[in-house]
Amino acid sequence: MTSRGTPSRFLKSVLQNGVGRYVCQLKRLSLVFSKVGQSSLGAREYIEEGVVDFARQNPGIVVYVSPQSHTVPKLVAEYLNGAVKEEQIASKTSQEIAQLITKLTGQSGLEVIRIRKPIHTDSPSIQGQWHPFTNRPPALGVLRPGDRQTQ
Amino acid sequence: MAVNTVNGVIRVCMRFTRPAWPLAGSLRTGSCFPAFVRHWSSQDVKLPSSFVPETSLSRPPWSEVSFPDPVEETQRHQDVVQKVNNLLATGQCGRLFAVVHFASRQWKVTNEDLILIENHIDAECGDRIRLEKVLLVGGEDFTLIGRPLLQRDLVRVEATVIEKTESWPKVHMRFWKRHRYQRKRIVVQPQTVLRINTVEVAPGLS
Amino acid sequence: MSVLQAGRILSPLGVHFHNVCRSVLFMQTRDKKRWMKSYMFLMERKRKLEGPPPPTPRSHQPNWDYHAEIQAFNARLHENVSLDLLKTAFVNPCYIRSEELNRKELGLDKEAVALNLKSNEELSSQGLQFTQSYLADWCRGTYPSLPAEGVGAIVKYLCEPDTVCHVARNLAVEDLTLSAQFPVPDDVLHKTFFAVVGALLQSSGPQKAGYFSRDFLVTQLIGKDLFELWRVFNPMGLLVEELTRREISLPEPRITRQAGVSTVLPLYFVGLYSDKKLIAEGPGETILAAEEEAARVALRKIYGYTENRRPWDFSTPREETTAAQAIGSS
Repeated sequence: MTSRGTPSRFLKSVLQNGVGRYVCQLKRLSLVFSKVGQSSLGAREYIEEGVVDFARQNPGIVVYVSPQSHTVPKLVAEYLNGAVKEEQIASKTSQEIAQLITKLTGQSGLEVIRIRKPIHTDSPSIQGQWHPFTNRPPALGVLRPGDRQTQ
Repeated sequence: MAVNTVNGVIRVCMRFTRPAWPLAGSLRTGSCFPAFVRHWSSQDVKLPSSFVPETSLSRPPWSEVSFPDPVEETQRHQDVVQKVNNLLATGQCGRLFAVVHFASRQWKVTNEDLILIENHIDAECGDRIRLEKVLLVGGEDFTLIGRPLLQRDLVRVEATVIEKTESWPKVHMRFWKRHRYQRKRIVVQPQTVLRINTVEVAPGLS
Repeated sequence: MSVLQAGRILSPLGVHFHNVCRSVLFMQTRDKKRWMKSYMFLMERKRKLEGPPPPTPRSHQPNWDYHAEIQAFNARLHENVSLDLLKTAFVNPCYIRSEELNRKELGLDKEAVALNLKSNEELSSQGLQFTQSYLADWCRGTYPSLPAEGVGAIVKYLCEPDTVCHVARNLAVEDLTLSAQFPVPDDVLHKTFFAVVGALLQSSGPQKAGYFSRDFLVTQLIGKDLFELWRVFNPMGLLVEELTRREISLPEPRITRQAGVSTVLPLYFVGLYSDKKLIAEGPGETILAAEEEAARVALRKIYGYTENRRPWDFSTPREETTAAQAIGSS
């Protein structure tokens, strides 16, 4: 796949985050797991060890832990801009799940696609934008050497 | 024919005298002309005894440089510094921009900008960091250029880490045709988004 | 038992009881259910005809705890609003009305019908009033030379439903709003957002509420031009008015530069001179457009709203709060 053919966007942020105050963009995290399933072993371990600490450290994120029988364990992250992201955590260890949750917390919910430019600015020029007349004395039209003699 | 030979001789003579001209202001080559050359030349072309024709090589190609008076120069420098300091102290400098060196790149940043760094940063989301390698700061009417960096207590550029995410999965494909060789690697690298909060200059310019 | 029921239900449709019994219930097979195909096709066609299902509010989906959500909303925005006030702020009058109607339809008596919920009308009006006055003060403080109309235009832009709803939707206010309809209509969301500001004002004081509206509303102005918000149809007239008020001689437009005059894409630069001094220069495709642009440039310069103006200061509250925390802890 060429990079030109992939979907892309420009660098942006939700609601100018970080200008006034920083708002964590993850609003809700649901951890779906099975109480008996082999593949949710790591998830169960994480729930025993890490979930409470995580929720305490991030009071702005609502964490739901919901056991469902015979399901593949997954994480459902909901972001402030309405984006919902599901991550499979089948047969992952509790450390891997913790890492995944940290990653989800740091993200902003914007699409993870190619970003066209690494910078975004709202005031592109401070000393004045260049145009073909910059630093030229004001004159009408183009003056050629011949014109002056005829005048 | 005669003129040609004369010219040839003169050219040779000039080559002799060349090392002397950067030191001497004007050319004085007449004295080292051999007598027979003068004899030949006086027959065909009537030249004064100390004449060298003006050529493209008789003067250095650049225009004459005159250095300004050092006292006047320092005075002007102080005036400019005073003016910029006044602007900064009264806060009339408008929006400032800076060129910072960060993550082995140079970024032109101003307030409320976003920059994307293709790597992990050792700071949590929401942390404020200070970008210390400032190469240049500019306002509407002035520009301060570091040699190569500006002092830490002069400029303050601060940023907030607002997002730590991952890049889109980039496909790195190696393919050698007709050789049954292909390797596919999918690269996902960490990314960090910074929001520039302040670009400030203290009015302590000297 | 279930077999009998199934038989009873299906028999009016003409399906024979014995057939159902034999094939569905007692013969379990693990091969590909090819008989399902026609049914799936039918369902797909039905879905195509009906379109996507109507969106359900987040509160009707699994994993929803209203109290925890409200607490998290508070913590997320680094605010400390009392939870009761915040809960009140999300209750809209239309929600109360529709709930009471529902209860009446269920046949409850009149005393049980009445909900003991307070609606957010009062908070909303308070919040709106406060926000408008705060934003107007902020505008006047930042741009002292901007006339009242310009200030009004900026405040109107920031308080109009489009901007406010965009902010509210990106702050998860929509999830928490209790309203009769879903998706929440713009005017209800608009009122709810200002009710949140009102709740903040009542429990944390005007300074915090001011910072809140500055952090989330004023930031919407970044990258916007003054005349994008404030429609001025005759900038030259306004400029003449401003200059006469300041007792500066009137502007004289002159063409300063031009290029490609005889082509389809001509370019003119018109400079405005006042007392033989250039006050502004603007480009345009026609001379009139260039003159208007030059007048706008001059107005921006006069009001101090140029592109390279001093950026707004968003930094003070954090330092103040940290200082206050430091003092409080020591």
